[in-house]
Amino acid sequence: MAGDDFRLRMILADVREMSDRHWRQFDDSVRLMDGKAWVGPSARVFERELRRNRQVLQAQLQKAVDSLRRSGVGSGSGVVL
Amino acid sequence: MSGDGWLEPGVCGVQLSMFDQLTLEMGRSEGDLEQLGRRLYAALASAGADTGPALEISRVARWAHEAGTDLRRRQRLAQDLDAQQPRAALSVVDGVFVRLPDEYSDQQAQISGYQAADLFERATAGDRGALRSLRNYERFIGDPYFARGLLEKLGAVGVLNVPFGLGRELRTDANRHDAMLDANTADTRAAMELLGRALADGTRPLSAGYAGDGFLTALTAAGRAGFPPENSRPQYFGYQGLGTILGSGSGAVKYSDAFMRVVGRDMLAHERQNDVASWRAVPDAAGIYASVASQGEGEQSGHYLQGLLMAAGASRAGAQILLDYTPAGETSGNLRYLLHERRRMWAGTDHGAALGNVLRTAASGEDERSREIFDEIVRVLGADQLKLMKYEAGGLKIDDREAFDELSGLRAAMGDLLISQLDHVSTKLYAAEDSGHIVRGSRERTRLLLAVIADTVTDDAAYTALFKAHVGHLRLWIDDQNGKGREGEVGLAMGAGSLGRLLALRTETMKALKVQEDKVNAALKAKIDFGLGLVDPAAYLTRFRVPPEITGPAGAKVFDEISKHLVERLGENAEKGNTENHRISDEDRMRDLVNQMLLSSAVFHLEYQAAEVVGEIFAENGKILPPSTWDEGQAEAFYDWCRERDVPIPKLNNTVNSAVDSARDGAIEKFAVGGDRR
Repeated sequence: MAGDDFRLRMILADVREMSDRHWRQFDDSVRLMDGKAWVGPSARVFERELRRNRQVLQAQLQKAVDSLRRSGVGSGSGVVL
Repeated sequence: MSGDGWLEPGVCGVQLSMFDQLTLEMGRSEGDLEQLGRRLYAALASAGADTGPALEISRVARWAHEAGTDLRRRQRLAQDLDAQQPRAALSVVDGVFVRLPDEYSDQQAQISGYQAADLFERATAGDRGALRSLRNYERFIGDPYFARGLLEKLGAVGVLNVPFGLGRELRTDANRHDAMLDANTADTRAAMELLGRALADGTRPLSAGYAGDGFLTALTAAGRAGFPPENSRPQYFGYQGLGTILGSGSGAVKYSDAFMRVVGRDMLAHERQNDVASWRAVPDAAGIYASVASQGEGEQSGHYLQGLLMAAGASRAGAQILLDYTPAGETSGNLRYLLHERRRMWAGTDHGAALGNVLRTAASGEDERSREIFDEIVRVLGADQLKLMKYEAGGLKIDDREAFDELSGLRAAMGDLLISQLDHVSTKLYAAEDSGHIVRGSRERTRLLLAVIADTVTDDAAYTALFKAHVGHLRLWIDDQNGKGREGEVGLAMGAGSLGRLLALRTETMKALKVQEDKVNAALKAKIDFGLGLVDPAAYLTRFRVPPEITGPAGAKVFDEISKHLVERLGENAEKGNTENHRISDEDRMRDLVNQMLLSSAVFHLEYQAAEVVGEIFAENGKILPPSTWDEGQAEAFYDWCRERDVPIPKLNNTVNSAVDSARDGAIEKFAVGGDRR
């Protein structure tokens, strides 16, 4: 099972890398909205959706990493590749 | 201090460079997240883990795509708006914002308004392609954002300049007999309608398209300015152009109260200051080319004020705002000016038809102001007509036919007004006739009212409408009284007297105007001879439940309903003049009519048992047949039956009889007192 474990570790590393890269995906947009790039009724709707989707994105990235960890990958070994 | 409280409802603001960045950011996220979703799905699936997070992220990617698409559209529009109308940008604490409608479709409409403004400018300069292209914008008619864009871009001067430019082009076409003249005329008319609707929508303060108070003021300045603009020797002034624009809606386009208060009143005030000096018909911009286009030199040219009157006639408040006002520096109100001082001018144009439209709208309501305006119309118009009518040898005499007809175009509207104020008028006249000693001055007021009625009934259509309304009204009233078990002697005398007076005034004024045959009267009289009053409008009444106090206009409908039954029963005879009965006096005929009504209404309200009418020739299956179907034998049998049973026979009493008898003399003799002063 050592090979399988290795493959799963590679996947986890991959997913972690994806998570890190996209964790701040919407931050610039949120910053621009904070700076009032766009104001008005439809802008408020957009901003709410933007913040909600940023939360969803981060929660799902976290969930993906967690579920891979739970399926035994990397648990206990202490080794991070 | 931040927030977007400075934004009007339905509007959003963007700071262009930041918005560009935002659009760019979101566009990037779309692609990134779409790819992330796919890669994450593959990773999780190959690890045998839950793929839920990847699916959720794909959903976020789809949202980002939708939001990004929306942003890109808005970005394009914001850039367009900024390029076309840099002045629209607004600087507040948070930055410099381009304002645009919040809804995408509204933004599109506003942009289209800007585009249409360009086309209008080009068309005004003679570009026929641009004029034709404006046809593509008809779908934006009624869109406030379109109106706003159009007015903002064109500006007040630009708006008023359009009719002059289009008029000049059409004139050129006409002069060289251009084959495209008809097509160009149609395009021009369509363009004017588009502009007129936009002007109405964009000057409505509560509309999202409101161009602002400043625009209204700018319109008044442009209206008084010379045109074409920037011309050292202007030939026209702006209000002539506005007249054409306002008239393009044919009186169906409603302008706001604010528009009438600011622009309408100023336009009329300007006309009062300038026209009075020359008393020359000043055409509107359409009139400038219409006379050439139709090649009829002698044709009546319009006056630019007609457009304003047409527009004011589209709403009661607007009409009242215009009429019930005295401009600064003038001694008479606008109503008096238009109806009296300007009388000779109307004779040269539409004889007061457009004016009639406004008067009708302003005075036909049930509100106090309507009533006041109606009374003022009677005072002014009545005094002028009265001067032209003389009482001579027991009849009326009108010497100056031309002067009498100066406002002939007004009569149709006056007919409608008299109908709408039918109760008011009948009560006034009856009270005046009933006692000669009521209020001081009431005698003069009566004469003025009679003069107005006499003038109005010289118009066939107005007379017919009035007569119908009176008959129907009286019939409804009788029914209402019967239903309540009342006698209503005075009311009956009032109604019968009104009818008699109407008929007398018609007969006498037609005689005075030396009109030979009176077909209208003959047809109405024939209807009475054939039993008009016997027809029961009960079916109509139960269907509509018309309250008798508002039956001026409803009366005419009732009349139509009962004459329809009459014609159905008697065929064409009921419509034809009956020469045999010409010897019956008008008074007798009126009495016949009222008697018929009383009888049919009484039968309708009669309570009886089926057994009581068994074997009677006026009944069938235990029910009394409708009086309108009776022959003389049946009628007599009915009267006998009533007498036997002590059922009161509905009949005219003395009050009513004398009201009918005195109607003619009472009306005509009123013209005697001081009637010949001029």
